[in-house]
Amino acid sequence: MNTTVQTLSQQQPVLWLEDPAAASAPRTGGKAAALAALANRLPVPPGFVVVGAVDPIAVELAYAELADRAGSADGEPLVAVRSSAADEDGLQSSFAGQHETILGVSGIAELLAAIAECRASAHSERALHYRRANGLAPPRAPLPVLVQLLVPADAAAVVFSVNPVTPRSGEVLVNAAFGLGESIVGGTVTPDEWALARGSLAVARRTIADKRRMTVRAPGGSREVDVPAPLRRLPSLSDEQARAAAALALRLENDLGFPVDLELAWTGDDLHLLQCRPITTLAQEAA
Amino acid sequence: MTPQSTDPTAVPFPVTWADPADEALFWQHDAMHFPDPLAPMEAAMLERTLGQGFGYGARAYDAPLAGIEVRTINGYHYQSLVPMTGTPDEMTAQGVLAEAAIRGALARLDELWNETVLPEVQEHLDFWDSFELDAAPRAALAAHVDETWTRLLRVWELHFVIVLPVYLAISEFDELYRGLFPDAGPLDSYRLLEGLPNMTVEVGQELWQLSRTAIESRAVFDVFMSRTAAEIPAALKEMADGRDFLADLHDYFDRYGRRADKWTILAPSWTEDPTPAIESLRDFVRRSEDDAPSVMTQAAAAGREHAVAAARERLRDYPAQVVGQFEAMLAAAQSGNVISEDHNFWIDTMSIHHLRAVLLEAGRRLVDDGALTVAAEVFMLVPEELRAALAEPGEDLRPTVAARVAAMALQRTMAPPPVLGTMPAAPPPDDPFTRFTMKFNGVPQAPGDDGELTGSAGSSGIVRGTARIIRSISEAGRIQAGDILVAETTAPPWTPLFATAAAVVTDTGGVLSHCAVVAREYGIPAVVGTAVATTVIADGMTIEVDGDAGIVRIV
Repeated sequence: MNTTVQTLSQQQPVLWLEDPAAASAPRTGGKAAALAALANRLPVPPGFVVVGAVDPIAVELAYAELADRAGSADGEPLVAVRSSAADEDGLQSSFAGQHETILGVSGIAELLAAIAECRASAHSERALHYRRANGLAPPRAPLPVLVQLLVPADAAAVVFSVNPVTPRSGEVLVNAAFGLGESIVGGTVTPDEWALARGSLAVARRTIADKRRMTVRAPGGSREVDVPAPLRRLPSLSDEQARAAAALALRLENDLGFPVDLELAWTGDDLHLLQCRPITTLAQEAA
Repeated sequence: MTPQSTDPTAVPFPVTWADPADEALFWQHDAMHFPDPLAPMEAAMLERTLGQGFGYGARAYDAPLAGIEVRTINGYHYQSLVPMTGTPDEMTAQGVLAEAAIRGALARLDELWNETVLPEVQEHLDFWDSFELDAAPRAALAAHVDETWTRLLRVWELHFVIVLPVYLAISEFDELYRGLFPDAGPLDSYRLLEGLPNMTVEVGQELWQLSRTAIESRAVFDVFMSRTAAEIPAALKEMADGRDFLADLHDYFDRYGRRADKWTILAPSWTEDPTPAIESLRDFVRRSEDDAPSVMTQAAAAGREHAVAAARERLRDYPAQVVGQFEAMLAAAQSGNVISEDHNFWIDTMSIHHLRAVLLEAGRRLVDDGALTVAAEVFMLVPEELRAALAEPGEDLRPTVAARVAAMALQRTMAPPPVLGTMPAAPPPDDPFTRFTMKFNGVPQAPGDDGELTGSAGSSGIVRGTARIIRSISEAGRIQAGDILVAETTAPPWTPLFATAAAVVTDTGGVLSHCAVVAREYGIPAVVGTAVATTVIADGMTIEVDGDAGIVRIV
């Protein structure tokens, strides 16, 4: 990459995920950079990263392009807005849940407000406390914010290429539930769990949970609602889907050189990669 | 539990248990279907058909129920739903089996009805239709009576094979809907099922069509305007237009007349006594097109489509599994709602009609023997007595009949307690079968404030009007537009009254009962299962029916 391009892109207030410059963690933050590095070869939902001072016109243009890509009828597709701190999702600390995630944002006014809210969350008492506790300095630059199309997920999963509780078991762990992943990440649903052998990807254990809650895409954002009783004890994924999820985690672990924690979602049979980060607790153990 | 009454003048209701073990069971009087004392023949019919039929259906779906026990106590029909007993593990295993069986049936409910149950029912109906009762030699008739009992049992097995998944489909959909939309009112889910063509509505609509035909001829119209229902057929016979109309009426009865106005073999079918139907016709003739049943069913259909579209919109971004489940259960519940009425037409009313016809013919033979005075006295016998009398004439059955008629007269003055036996120690089991049974029969209601009756919300809307206490469909003429029909229960042939009444209130039934289903089809408010409406409300009182809250106010 030559110096001129680098200088230009450093001035760009919006970086698309498929832009090679977006894969730089110091620029776009750990979460966005990890997805950007994979966006050209894996099904990462289209999106962009807002960096530096917010340029409302640039954000509006990018949102309009996102609407085009989504084939949105009203030009106001639902998006997910997430923080992506430079030191977030690093090998040392995950920041899981410390920064704001705003789902189901629609329209440019809401989007700008959500970006501002996300940025403010970097200075929240909770986030600052987490930084102090993990020996990190307070954030200096404005927090990069990732804006992606919100996948209307039928089911979502969190995948650990190594079982974080029993690392030596040789298992890939898949936790899944109906709807968007927020109920799994937020711990409001007991997810279905598959444990698959790292070598053969054979299902070693399958526990179908009584899944009472799910997050759904809804007008004006997302909502957590009750899962209808007849569905609660039905598997949220097929074994094939769980196996595909595990295979993807192992492939990324191999490519990146460290155990990974993925967030995935399915729309019908289409798989989307929403997040890929190191399993921080294992890294600490190794160190 | 012993029945108690605070009224010293009340006729006692002595209970002698036929089987000592019965006292340990919990018995409920089925006042919705059988408010009156049963004749011995009818009691025997119900003990056979309901007990065996329900057991057959429950086993077909691995239901966690031992079955239904049926007893006739002082002439009144009591049922006990006997739960299955077993270890928790056995019960769980049974629940899993039942769930799989139900899912299988719900996925193919239309097919189960149209391709399996209905064709076999029609085969039995054809058998009865094709047998020439009056021409049959005595031995052939005796054999036909036996064959009729055998086939009746089979028809009632089929009845429960279809009825259990039908009501489960509606009940389970209601539960799904409320789970998805916690802000929904108690009747909202049923809006998605209304306005689909069914036999009950068809019977009413075809009768309405006849009234339009009657209006076309000035002479026929004049007869309907000037004569009583009982006089109308003879008057019509006197004129050419009238004879044409009678031919149409005959066709109508051929298709729809094998039904009585109550669920009892004691009531004549319309084919025997057309007066109740002609009474409804007399009322229809006086009405304008605005009152056509089709206006109401079209409104119900539009309401259904609107409610379905609204639910689909709310589920637009829900996981595909949820949407798929919703659509599958909606389809099953819509089929179920239609079949819940159609099965009544094809099974309940038709089988009762044929049994009645067969027994009456046997009764005529016994009259010829001098054993009975009139054929209808045959209903005072039990099946074994009839069998013996047909095989070997000679015994004078008239004293037996007289004693039983007297007993029934006394029974009619009794107030049967709603429950008998032993109140269950545990709450009813929480399985889909028990839940829908409670929605069908209604649940006991706490008494309301002064001047207020509480029941189950049956059909939505608030209406104020004059209460008309209707004991039988022969009183149909007393219902004027805007009046509120107040009845112990309503049988399917009462449907035409729903086109006239502004609202319905019943003593018995729940949100899935026939009355509530039909009220929703006609878009009139209904409060069902008040227990006391026909005793507390006096004819002519002004009452307000709140079909959403399940409350009736005397104003």
